[in-house]
Amino acid sequence: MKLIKEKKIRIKNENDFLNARGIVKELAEEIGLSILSQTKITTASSEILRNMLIHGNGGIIIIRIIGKETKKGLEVICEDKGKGIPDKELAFQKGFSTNKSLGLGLPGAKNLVDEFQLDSELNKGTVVKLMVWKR
Amino acid sequence: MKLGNLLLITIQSEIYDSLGIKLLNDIAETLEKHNSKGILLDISSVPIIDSFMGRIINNIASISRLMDAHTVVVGMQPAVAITLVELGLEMPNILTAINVEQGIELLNKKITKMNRIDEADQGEKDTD
Repeated sequence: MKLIKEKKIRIKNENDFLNARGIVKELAEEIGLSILSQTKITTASSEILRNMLIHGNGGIIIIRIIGKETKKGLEVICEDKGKGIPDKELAFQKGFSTNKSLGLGLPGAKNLVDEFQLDSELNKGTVVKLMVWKR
Repeated sequence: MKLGNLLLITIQSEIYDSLGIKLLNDIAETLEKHNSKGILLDISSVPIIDSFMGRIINNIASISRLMDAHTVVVGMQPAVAITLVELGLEMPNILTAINVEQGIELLNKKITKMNRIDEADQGEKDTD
C-alpha cells in the first residue's frame, strides 16, 4: 500500500463539515471513481462527519488516496475524542438513535462503502475508517 | 418563487443542516401566508443528500400535507436516488417528477382532484 495524497481537516462546525465533504468528493473524482461511487463515499462521509460533530464535539478527518498494486482507493478516516460508543452492536442497528435522528448513519454508511472499520473506546473517542476502491 | 397557487423552491448546491431546518420553517410559513396548494421542490443541482437532508425533504412533504398542500420533488440525480436507497432512507409518501414542467402538471392534477372531492362533499351537504 502506497500513500499517494493526504489531506487533514479539523472539524469544528458546519462550515468545516461542508468543506470536508467537498474535499472527499474532489479526491474521489481525482482517482476516477464513477459519479455513483463518488456520491456514495461522500454521503457515507457526511453521515460519519455529522456523528462526529454531534457526539464527538468535532474532530479530525484524514482523506487519503492510496495505491495498491495497480489500483487506487480513497480512504476516509474520522477521529474524534468524544464520549465513544457504549454499545457498538446497538449503534449498527437500523433505526437506533440517541438523538432523535433516523438512526441510519452508521449502518447506512457501512452499506455505501467497500470497507468499513469502527473503533471506539468509552470516554476516549471514536475512529471510523471508510474505504472505496476504483474498479 | 410563487407560481399561481404553487410554490417553486430550488435548492442550490449543498446546504448546511441549520439552513435545512430554516428552509422547513420558511416553507411552512409561506404555505400559510399565500394559502399555496402545492410545492415544487427542485433538487436537480443537489449532488449529495444524506439521511439528515433526506429527513428534511420527508418533513417538508408531511408538513405540506397537514397544511392542505402537496409536495413534488423534482430532478433528483440518479446517483443520489441510488445512494438514498442503499443508505436505507425510505421516502414512501414523496411524489416525484423528472422536471419542473411535469411537476407542475402533477401538482395541478392533484389539486384539481382535491377540489372535486371538496365540491362533491359540498353537494352532498346541500341536498341534505
